[in-house]
Amino acid sequence: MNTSDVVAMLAKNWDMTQVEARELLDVITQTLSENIATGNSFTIPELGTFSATTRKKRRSYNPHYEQYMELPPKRVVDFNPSKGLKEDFKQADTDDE
Amino acid sequence: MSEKVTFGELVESIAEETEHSKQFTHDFFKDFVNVINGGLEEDGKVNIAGFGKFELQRVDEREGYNPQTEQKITIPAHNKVVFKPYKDLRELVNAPYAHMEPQLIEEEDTETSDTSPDHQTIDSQTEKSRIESERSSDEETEQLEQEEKSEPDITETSEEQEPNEDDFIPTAPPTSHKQDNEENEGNGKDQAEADQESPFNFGEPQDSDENTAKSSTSESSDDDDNGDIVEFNATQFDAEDDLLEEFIGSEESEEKEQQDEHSEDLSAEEELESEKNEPHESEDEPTETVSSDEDDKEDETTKSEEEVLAEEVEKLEEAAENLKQDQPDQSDQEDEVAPLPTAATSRSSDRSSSFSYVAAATIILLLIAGGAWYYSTLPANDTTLISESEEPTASADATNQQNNNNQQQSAEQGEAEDTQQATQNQSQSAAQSSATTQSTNNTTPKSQAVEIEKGQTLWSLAEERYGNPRLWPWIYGNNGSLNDPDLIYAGSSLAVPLPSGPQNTLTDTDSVGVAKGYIATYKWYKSNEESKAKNHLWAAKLYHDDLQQLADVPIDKTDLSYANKAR
Repeated sequence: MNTSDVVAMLAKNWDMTQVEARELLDVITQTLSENIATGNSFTIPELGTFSATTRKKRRSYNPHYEQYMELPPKRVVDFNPSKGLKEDFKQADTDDE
Repeated sequence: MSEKVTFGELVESIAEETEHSKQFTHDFFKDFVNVINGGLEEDGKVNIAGFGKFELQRVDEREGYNPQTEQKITIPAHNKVVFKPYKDLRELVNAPYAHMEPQLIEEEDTETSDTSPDHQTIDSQTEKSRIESERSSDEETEQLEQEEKSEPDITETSEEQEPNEDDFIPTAPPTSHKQDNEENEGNGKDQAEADQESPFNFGEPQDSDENTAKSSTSESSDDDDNGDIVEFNATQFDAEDDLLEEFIGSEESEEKEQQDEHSEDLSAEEELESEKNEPHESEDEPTETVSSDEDDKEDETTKSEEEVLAEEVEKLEEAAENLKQDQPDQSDQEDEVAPLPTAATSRSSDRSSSFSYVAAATIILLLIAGGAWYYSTLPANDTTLISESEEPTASADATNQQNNNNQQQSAEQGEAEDTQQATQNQSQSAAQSSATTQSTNNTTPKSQAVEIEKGQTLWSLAEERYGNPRLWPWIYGNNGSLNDPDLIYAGSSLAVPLPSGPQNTLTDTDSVGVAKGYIATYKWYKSNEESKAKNHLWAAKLYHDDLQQLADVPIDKTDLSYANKAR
């Protein structure tokens, strides 16, 4: 399922044009992104918790140059699915892909 | 910074931005979540453009441990929901560290060099003992064979160590020098017999040196073993000291040189004498057999730790005991060689007194030969160096010579160093350039092919891509195939230009592109005689001052004057 499917479904549910639905959706995702980026953590009910965590800088061996490299710290998005969501999909028989 | 935001606050901010009611936004958001859940249930993944991908990931059955019951449990195979942020979000989140790039670490030998001091002592000891045993033994040939066997190992290790720019140079000498030692051993008698042959020794070591230098430059860089390099230097100079002592010894007893002329036996004796002296000077006196065994072992265990050192000490003690037994035999075999040089001198002085000229010539030749061995690694300027080297020879100051050697070699072996550094620089620059190209590729691709989805407009596309829908003429201007700016077809592909400034800001060239796009739309609307055409020209003016320059056709004057009101 990709964005246009989501948009189509939302547009149908809310009786609006897809353009409107997409614009709204874009604002939502934008807001979420910005909040994650500023370091805020938030929980969306029935979905999960988003937050940003920082990976420390680390050393890694680059086999191509046969030298060690220092990889800079990295800030990444952290997502913890909510309990309900986890349980919903826990059954292994729901074959993915 | 990191504070908890409630769902209500999120809804509020969204509602503010979209000018919808909070209730509606809340419900819409909830529905969005439901759709995501439905999508996950349906086909296991939901992509949200510009945000990320929710996905079900299968986790195979695995062994687990319950800390409460302290029992092993089997965690059954299950699915878990993962969220993979897309590039936009990733970069947004990582913005604080975006300027940092992976860096190659130059001095990572800190880890490896911790143990090297131990190696150093062990190796220098064994090196000493090796050289001394070479000298003091009758079984030179056997040892030569051993040496030859162990030689390749040494060359290999030293070559591995070499690539460290300046350090590379000192590493070449040890191997060649040992080769020289071999030649020295091999030629020892011949040389004493006929010193004229010594000039030939100049050439050979140099050749071999050049070979090692070439092979070493071709080696890939690995700068782990600075410590080992130093250690090889140290051993090298031990060896050199021995050589020098030999020469000094020969210098002190001029008449001994004359013996060289007379008989092979005597010269062998004399060599052995001078060699004998050295063990007396240094404390460890390994015998031929034990020490050669040690050599082999040492070659295998050069990387080992202090335990080996302890074993070594024991062995050396054994060796010392053995030596007491061995030495008499040795001396018997060697025609009553006197242990002290003075005795040798007195004996030799009896033998001859009238060959002073020949002796002087022999000394000079020997010194030259010694200098040649000593500096045989230098590809050029040998003669000057040899003349310089004679004085340090007398003082036999190992550290000074090491410094000298390093400096001179670094100066003289410019070529080899240059190539070495060149290769290093190349690899480094390659690394850097690849890093930079990567980063540039990541941050500033010129444009991106985007497939138009159903219901999408240039306006919405621009809003999605740039966050500013009013940049849509940029996309239009970037796609010459587009005709009507108000008409794009789902499924067709557009080259969407991307802002090259940091954090999606427009650079000057981007602005020009936007202005050009506006002019393109202006021309389209103008040709279709739509009244809003001049508005596009006006907008173009916002992005670039000189519209006439950008437009390849004359612009309507009234429109231009209207546009010039902007800004």
